[in-house]
Amino acid sequence: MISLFVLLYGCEEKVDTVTVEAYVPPEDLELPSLDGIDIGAAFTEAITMVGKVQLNPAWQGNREALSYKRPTCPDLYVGENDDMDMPADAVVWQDFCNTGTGLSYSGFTAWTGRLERSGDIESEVGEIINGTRQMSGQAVVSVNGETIYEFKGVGEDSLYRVQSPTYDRWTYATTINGMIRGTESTGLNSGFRSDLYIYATGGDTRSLESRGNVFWTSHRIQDRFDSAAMDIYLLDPSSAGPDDCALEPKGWIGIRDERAYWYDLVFMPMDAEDDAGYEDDDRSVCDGCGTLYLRGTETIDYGQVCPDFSSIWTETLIDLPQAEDFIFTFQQAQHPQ
Amino acid sequence: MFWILLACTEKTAEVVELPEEEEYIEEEVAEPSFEDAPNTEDVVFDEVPPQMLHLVHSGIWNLAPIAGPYTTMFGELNIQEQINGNGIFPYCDFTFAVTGHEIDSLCPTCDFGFAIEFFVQEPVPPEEGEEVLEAPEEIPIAESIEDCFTPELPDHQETRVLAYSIADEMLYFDYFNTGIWVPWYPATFIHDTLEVYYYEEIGFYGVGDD
Repeated sequence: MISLFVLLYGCEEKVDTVTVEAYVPPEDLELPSLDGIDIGAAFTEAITMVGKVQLNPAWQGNREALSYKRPTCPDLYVGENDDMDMPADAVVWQDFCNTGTGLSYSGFTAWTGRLERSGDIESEVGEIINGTRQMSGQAVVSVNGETIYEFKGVGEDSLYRVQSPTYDRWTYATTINGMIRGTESTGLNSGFRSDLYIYATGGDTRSLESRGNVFWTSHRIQDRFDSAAMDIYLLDPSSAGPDDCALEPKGWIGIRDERAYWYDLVFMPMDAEDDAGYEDDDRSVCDGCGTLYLRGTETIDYGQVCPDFSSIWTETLIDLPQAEDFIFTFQQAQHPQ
Repeated sequence: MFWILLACTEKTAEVVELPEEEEYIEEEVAEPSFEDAPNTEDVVFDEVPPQMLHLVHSGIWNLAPIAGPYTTMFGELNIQEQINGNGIFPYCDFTFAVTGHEIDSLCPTCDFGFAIEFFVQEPVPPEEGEEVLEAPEEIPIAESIEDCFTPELPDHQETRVLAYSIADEMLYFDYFNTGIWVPWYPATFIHDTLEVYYYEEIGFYGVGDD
């Protein structure tokens, strides 16, 4: 082995040069200014926007996009496909086609929905709706070059609702990992890319729990913030029990400006036991305020911010799917009316 | 060792005879323009599925009493699935016996409807002396109705609520008793019978490894 090295070394002369430059310390980071920004309102808007990051746009957009289909454009498929992470009974369209009228389909979507419904909404006992949906896709549908539907990723949701003339309670959960945009899904300039989980309750008890990230492709909160990240639990003050903090959420939420600065607003710990990161007891009190930090730097503390989340508790915080929305059969897809 | 020594020596170029050069004809090549995206929207193209599955669901349903109003029905529904149009050895070939009784609530455009039980019949045994074609091993054959690929087929002994619209010539399905009616089978109403005939030709991924 040594002789080999000598032979190799003898083939070519090699001169190493090392230059040592004087160390120049980095310039101090100029903190981004929040002048002109209502940072509390920005976080409130972020929460209302997060409530729209759910499966419905992907599902309804797929349905709308297929309402234009021609007999074999796109083709519907059945059968075993191990490449799609979907149940075997999922309905699939897959194609690369153009109808010749400017409408084109590219890629695939696979979906499956289940719905159970019982009871009577007018009765005292009420009606129970239990629905689930799953979707997977790598699809772009366009008309004359304009994307009317794009879904790339996976998503699912579920709704359980009990409703009577005097009573309404629902729980809704959704997860979206992927990107959704297009005029037939999220509307014009309202797409998003996310890996987000939402669990919400409504009716007699209103709450919102959300974990993950979302980037809005066009929308900017206060013309500046394009993304949000969070692990947060909000409870409608009117639904708070005696042991709940009605003034502020638990957890944290961050928003990112277009220069990639993240602003994290940290509230009370998610759980009483999980307070390892909360060294300052004063910041763990239920006072309606969180501490605002600039992420990625050594504890740049902007101070206390007290957003008013009371305005988020509207009927439109979550676009709750209706019972009909859980059904999109093979026949409906193949023969749109 | 040999290769290392060889690396230090000068490399002598091998002389290779090139084939005779063909006459070069300049082709007209359209210069790509980044200002105007190529317009492919007017060009019709359609990727064809590598495999097709032909679905044929058909049957005659008898309605009673004669001339109505109908309170009961009975008949058959044959479910056949043919891979790439192979009708000699269809992948799926089962027949439901269907019996139904009248229901109260119908879809908005429907004229009559039934709660129908679907009962998978045993295959008819071949008559004595009848030649039976054995399917080659490489041709997959469904062993039960659950193996068929048509989405949301009824299970054996499942009861479903279906109603018929004369105007639409369509059987509607009360989707798993949710009160939401979805189009199910096209059917023709003739002389106290419904002739169900549903045909689709769709893409097919295959039957899987099992």
